Amino acid sequence: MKSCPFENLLLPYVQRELSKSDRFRLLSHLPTCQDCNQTLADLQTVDSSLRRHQREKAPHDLYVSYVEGLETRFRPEPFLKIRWRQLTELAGKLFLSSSPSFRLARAFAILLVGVLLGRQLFYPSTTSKINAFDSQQTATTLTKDDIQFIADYVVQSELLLLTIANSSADEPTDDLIYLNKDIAQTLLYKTAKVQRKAIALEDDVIIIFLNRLELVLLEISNRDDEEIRTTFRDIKNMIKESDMVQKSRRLQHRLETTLAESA
Amino acid sequence: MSRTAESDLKLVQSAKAGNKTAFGTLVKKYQQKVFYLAFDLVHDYDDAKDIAQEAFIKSFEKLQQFEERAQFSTWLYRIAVNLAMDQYRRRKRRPHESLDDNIHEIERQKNVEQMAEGQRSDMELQNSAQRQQIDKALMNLSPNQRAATVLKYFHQQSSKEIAHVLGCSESTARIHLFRAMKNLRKHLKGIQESL
Repeated sequence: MKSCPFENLLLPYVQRELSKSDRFRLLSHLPTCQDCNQTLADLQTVDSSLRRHQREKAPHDLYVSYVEGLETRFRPEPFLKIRWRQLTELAGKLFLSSSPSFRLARAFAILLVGVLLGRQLFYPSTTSKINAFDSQQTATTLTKDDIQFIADYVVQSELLLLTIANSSADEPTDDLIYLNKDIAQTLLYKTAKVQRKAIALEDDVIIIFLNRLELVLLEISNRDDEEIRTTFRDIKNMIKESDMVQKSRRLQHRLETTLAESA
Repeated sequence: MSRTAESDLKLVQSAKAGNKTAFGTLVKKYQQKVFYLAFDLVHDYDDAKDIAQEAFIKSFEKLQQFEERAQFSTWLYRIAVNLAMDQYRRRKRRPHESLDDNIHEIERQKNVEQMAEGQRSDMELQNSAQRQQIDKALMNLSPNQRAATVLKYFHQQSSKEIAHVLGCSESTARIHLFRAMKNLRKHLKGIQESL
């Protein structure tokens, strides 16, 4: 028996998957076709039975043993193992991936390693220089005149640092004379000279101390008269945080010892 | 792509890179669905357990072959359906242990339990009888028709997904489903008349 051409629309209609236009066509056809009406009724009966169908739950023990079996087989890896794998994956991506961004990252990493290695090989670290300062190795490389010049400078700057460190921001503005711009600028000029000597002698300890002192002096020479108390507080904090008074004393002591030895 | 499919894809990619934990997450997500899909197809809990476990092992072994164009769940269902069909064919070759026997045995046990309990309401008994009728009618369908019906009604798969699972075109999947519905109506009528 030849089936109705509308028959293939019946199931999508029952399952609510039919387009609007097809649904309209089918609904127009249904009143004229007995076969389609019968099939539709059958499909709707089965559809509703299947939708209402509720499967019974599996026996508890059997289901538990099934889940346990799977868990044993696909047990999660230990945390450290996961981290290690992620690390190797990342390293693998970085070194094996051919994408442009990874290539760039790779080149940058190689360059960075090269620079760090080169620095380590050709320039001893700052820490070792600071230690050298304490063991009086650096100062002995300076000439007598250089040492004298630096020693005078350190004495002057220590006086300034000490006065600021022992003063309070609550004092009258006139008493904050040590924040005099001219004094600071004179010292700044000297700082530049001492810095040049220190740079020529590659003495990092002095360079670092001078850099900090230079900041203090710049703050003073550029200060605003109306904000003198704020500037004072900032400078005082800077001296305290960098322990500059102690450092200048140590430097002064070292320079004096060196001068005495050379005499 | 749906959010579920997207998260599945991420887990699959991670599992492909050797992350067993990612696959473990996928197993947890689908263990119940695959188990009941297998049960709906073979109607035996022990077999369903074996089939579902085998499906996960196979999918883990063949994960590298999984093309990420399809959804992981569809691919996993396909493995489970194929294993269930193999099991069905093996059972068919051993008539003394047919699937019909399984259903009869389950029904018999249920009836005995119900009689023993003696406390179940009429409604529960009626539901249970209807369920048995549908199970029996489903087991009389061809494997493809049964799989199409089970996937559509018990696992909410679309015609497109059913086609993927069965490895056929969407129109063929619809034909399987249409014939299954017609046959089910016939079987259910026959069962009701015999009662």
